[in-house]
Amino acid sequence: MNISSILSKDFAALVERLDADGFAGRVLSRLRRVERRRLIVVGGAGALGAAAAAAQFQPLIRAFSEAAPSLNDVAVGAGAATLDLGYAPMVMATLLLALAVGATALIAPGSR
Amino acid sequence: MELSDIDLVTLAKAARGSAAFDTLVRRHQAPLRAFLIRLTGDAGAADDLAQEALIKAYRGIDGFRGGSSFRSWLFSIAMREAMMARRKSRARSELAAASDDQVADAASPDFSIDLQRALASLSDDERAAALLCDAAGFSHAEAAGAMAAPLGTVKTLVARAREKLRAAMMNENSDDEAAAGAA
Repeated sequence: MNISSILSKDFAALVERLDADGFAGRVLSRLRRVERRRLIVVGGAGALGAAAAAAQFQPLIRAFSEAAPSLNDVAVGAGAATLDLGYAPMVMATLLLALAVGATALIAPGSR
Repeated sequence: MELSDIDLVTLAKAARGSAAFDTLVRRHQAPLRAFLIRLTGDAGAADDLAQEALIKAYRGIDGFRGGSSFRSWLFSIAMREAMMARRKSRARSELAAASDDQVADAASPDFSIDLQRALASLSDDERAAALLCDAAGFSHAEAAGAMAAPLGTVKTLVARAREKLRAAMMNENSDDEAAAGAA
């Protein structure tokens, strides 16, 4: 028997043995955890983006109102959600955007 | 009808978390682990490396362009993981002490001690090339992709590995016969 056939026979027997254990199941459950984490990060990034947009909404309406006083008669901002944490909206939006970009980088393919 | 690896990769890219990648894992995990067990000589380490390689493949599936076979790409990730682990292990100077244990870990009823020792006597590249081409049934081109080495280099490595293995096996056999004669 030559070297190639000795190696291939040994390899085939080993593959057969390994095929029957629970390794694949363990890897797949770990992959599902990875995927869940990815989705949570994506969802979080989306929520942060929405929060950043909401933080900008009120000043934007105000700016429009000042530029065109006739807009004051339009009740657009009345029901809008606001997020006032005591920071300047621009600072908060920048921080949230940085977090969102960081989270995206974390899940981008090939980033880890 | 069984889908090809390329079909499954296309499906896995289109729908993350779909069953397509599960099928790829089930299809390739055993050959990948067998290769790593024979490459490293350590079944536990081989499983850790295989798991890391499969997770990296999952995360980086979008980067697979189909220029090579999926298994060649997957094995190339595993090879990189194995080489990195070996470098770390060398840095900690544990390799020499581990070599005897590794022989014991890799033992199986189908794997002769002679072949085990003969494989251990090869360089990392020679062992990888011989295992990919002669054991796992890769073409030289696929092995070149997995090893990130030129085709000619892989052919040379395989030929040299076969020669060394043949010589090592013959030595082992003649030693055994001499021992039996002395007894």
